[in-house]
Amino acid sequence: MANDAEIHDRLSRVEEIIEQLDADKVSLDEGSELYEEGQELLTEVRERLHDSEGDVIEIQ
Amino acid sequence: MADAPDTERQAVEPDAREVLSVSQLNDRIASVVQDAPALNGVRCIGEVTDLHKNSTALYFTLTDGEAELPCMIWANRYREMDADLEDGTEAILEGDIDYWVEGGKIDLKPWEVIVVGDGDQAAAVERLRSELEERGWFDDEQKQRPPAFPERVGVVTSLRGDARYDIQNAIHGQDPTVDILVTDATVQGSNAPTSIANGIHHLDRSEDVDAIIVGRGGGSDSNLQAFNTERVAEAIFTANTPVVTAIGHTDDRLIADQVADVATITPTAAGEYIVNSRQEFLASEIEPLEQQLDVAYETFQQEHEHEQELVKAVDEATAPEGPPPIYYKVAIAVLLLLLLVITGLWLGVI
Repeated sequence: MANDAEIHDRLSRVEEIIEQLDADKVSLDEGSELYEEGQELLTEVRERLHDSEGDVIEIQ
Repeated sequence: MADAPDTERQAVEPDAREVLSVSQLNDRIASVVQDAPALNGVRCIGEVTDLHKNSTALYFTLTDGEAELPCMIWANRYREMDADLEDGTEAILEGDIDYWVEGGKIDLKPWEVIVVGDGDQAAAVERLRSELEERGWFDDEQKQRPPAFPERVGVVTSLRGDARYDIQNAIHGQDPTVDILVTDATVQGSNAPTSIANGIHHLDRSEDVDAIIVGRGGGSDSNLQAFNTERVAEAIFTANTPVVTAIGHTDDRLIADQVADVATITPTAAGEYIVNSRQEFLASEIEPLEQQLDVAYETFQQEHEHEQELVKAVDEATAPEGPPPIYYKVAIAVLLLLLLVITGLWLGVI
């Protein structure tokens, strides 16, 4: 399956987190948790993009 | 009948062990062609395709749909002819078969051209085009957008052609993690429509194929006729997987291009289109988002540090002077305990 949906969902959540931090309506602890979540999501996207080498399969 | 003696055979057949240069062999072919009465003054009917001209000559391919023949007319001779040739014209050509020694190619050099009318093939293609347009097969609403980050791309092309390597290199140049499934297909000739359509159907049925490229290298227009057939058009139109065509350089729009979700000019362009550049995506999307997140959190932290300092300052400012209330409570508890002990001693209870 294409990675579009998973990448898109993660990036949308990171954008939400940035908005929440900008809005400054959460506690310091909650803000720290959100930041960690954002970092994890971006790491996951990078990992998806650096997945293993692709194969070339021939079908006669 | 007895075999001819060796000496006699040598006189008739060239020495099989003789090693010729390419020029010598081509000269020999040319002399055979020129001396063959069956190849001189021939008349041939067919449809003109792949016509192009320059100041010295007019080049085109004559085809009957099954086979084709390269043709060339010198520009000055063509000007004297009462014929207006264009792609799709059906014509009877009269001339000699010629062998070009340097290029090793055979062609028909007509001295007379009789235009019969519009070609059957061209007319049939136009009829099919109109019919499919009426059915709405070319409409934008029917187009699917290929995914930007496919995991597996299917390719329908000849395994022996250059197109497959162009597609593979372009895809892995953009993103080396993508799997490529190449289905062998005959891309020209009478079997091509079925072969291409079967390839598309096969890949479309594979659930893990995210997009399909139907490709071949360039060729004469008559070689591309498979991509003007209803069979291939239907396979593309009914595919649930997005289909990108890469059928090679051609002036005319092919029906397969019109039905496809995306039409590209070359196999390389198709490969580059189908897969986003991983590096470009990281640089343009991920890295800016990482920076935005860091900046947002830093600002957030600073706001909260100020807030905490403010709360602390307010607490200190509003706190009563002297020992904190807990000390008073402890002192009162101790005094009550002493009072109980004294009262107990006085009453003689203790």
